[in-house]
Amino acid sequence: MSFIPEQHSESLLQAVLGSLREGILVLDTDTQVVLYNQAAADIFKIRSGGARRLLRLVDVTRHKIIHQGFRKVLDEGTSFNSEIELVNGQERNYSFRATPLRFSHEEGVAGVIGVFFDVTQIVKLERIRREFFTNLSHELRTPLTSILVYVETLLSGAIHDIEYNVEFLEIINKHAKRMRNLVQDISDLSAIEAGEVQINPANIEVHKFVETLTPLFSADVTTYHITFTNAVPPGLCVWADAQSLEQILVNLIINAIKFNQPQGSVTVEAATAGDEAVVISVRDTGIGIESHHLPRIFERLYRVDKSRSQEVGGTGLGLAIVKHLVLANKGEITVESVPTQGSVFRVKLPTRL
Amino acid sequence: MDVDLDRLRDKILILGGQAETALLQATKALIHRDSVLAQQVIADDDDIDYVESEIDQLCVDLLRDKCPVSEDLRFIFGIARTAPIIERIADHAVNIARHALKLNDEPQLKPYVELPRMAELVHQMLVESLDALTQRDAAKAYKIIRRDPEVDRLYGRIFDELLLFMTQDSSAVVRSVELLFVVKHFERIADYVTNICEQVVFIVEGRIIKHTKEPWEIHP
Repeated sequence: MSFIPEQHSESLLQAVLGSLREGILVLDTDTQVVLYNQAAADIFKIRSGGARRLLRLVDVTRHKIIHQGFRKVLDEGTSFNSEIELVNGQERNYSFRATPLRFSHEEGVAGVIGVFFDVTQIVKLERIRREFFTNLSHELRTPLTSILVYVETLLSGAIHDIEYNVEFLEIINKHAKRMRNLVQDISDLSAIEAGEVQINPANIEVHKFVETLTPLFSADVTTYHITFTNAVPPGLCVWADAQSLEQILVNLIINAIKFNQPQGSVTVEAATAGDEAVVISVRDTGIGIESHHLPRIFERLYRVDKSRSQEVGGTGLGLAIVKHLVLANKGEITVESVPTQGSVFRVKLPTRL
Repeated sequence: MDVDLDRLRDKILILGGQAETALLQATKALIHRDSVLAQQVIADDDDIDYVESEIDQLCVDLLRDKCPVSEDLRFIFGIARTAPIIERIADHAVNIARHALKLNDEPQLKPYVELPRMAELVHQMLVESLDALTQRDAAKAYKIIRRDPEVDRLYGRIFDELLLFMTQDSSAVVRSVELLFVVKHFERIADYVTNICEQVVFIVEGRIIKHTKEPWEIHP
């Protein structure tokens, strides 16, 4: 069915404006709001109805840059662009563009059109990217500085000092290994993200699988005086890639051991979640994680406690790798934590249908 | 006259918006230990002082040139009293930013738990008081005044906790004192917010409720 646009111009305008995700505010030269769409009403919490008179811009927002931008367009007749932050319950970022409204039959500026485009996600990703590179250069620079200092000391004559030369070489070796692990983790992570890691799902019996993993962290259990318990009920199976599952569980278990308290415990548990999934939990009695860190701990190189991480020698990429491997196996990962009492990481994986 | 009053209303609400931003950014600078943001709050204060002077001048001009009466006169009086209150709120935000600069150079005393709660409550009260002014909503203003004791309770709790820190660990004294100042600034801002609300009631209802025990009691 066709329609003649001229006969529906008002409804057409409302329909088009209503369908936009961008907030639109149109003001006259006296900064009265003559038109806005639903997205703008949501952004600025404009309550429709009951208004005895036209809204002014101050009724909609008190944000200084928005006022300045609209004023500039009205006074100078040129467009205005800015990035702004608005807090309405939660903080969001917008790209704000104001352009003059001109009618072909009239001279001068008749008003101003403001467009608000939500860029919160883009700003967040940009922050994560920037922090990643800052952290990465820090993570690489720290061991590299130590290596250079000890190499220079050795070259300056310490190589002949039989009391210290081996100790210095061991320190160099330790830092070089740390750099190698970091580079290895980065290449693992990018391979998983690029979908280059082969996922070959198989039916895995979780209790037995955890048993086969214990030699991989038994040395850490002894070093940190931790009690490890495999409390997975025999018989529970998940449909996952064995190599991924090994990397996921070993990473989580080693973290649980290292970020524990002396004489603490680490327990692996599992339970069915409906007919199609099993949740494997790694529970510790460790130092825990404060709630404001929780949303960010799966980010690359995000450190809850920098000094503690340096002490236990992680690369800062372990949890990011775990998260991506879980996703690659069509699973989900969540975390719960109480500071000073411990954390529990839950990996939900599908079962074979 | 309406155009002039609209201009005055625009100016006071933009000033309010600037104070809101200053408070929000000072709080962020403190909690996220962001010294660049703290400097920004301090730098932006001159602009706030300038807008306050503009409002002052505008009120004087209107009183002299337009001889307003009744509601209009009350509105101009109310705004003339509100502008310095908002300016003082921004000054307290600047002071919080200054303390944040000092605190950010030191290791964090402990994770802030109650402080963000108090800051959020005070910020929310400020936003709502300006909404009440925007909407000329006296009922909303009364409601905000009744929230002030919540801020006082939080202030008391944080005060006691900081005193405990100081008695337990002498190395925490300097940072605790800085934080005591910060919470005092938040507490004062909440008091000023109640003063804004009193002016909203004056503008809308013509009642003077300042110095009354309860916000709904009329001053004799």
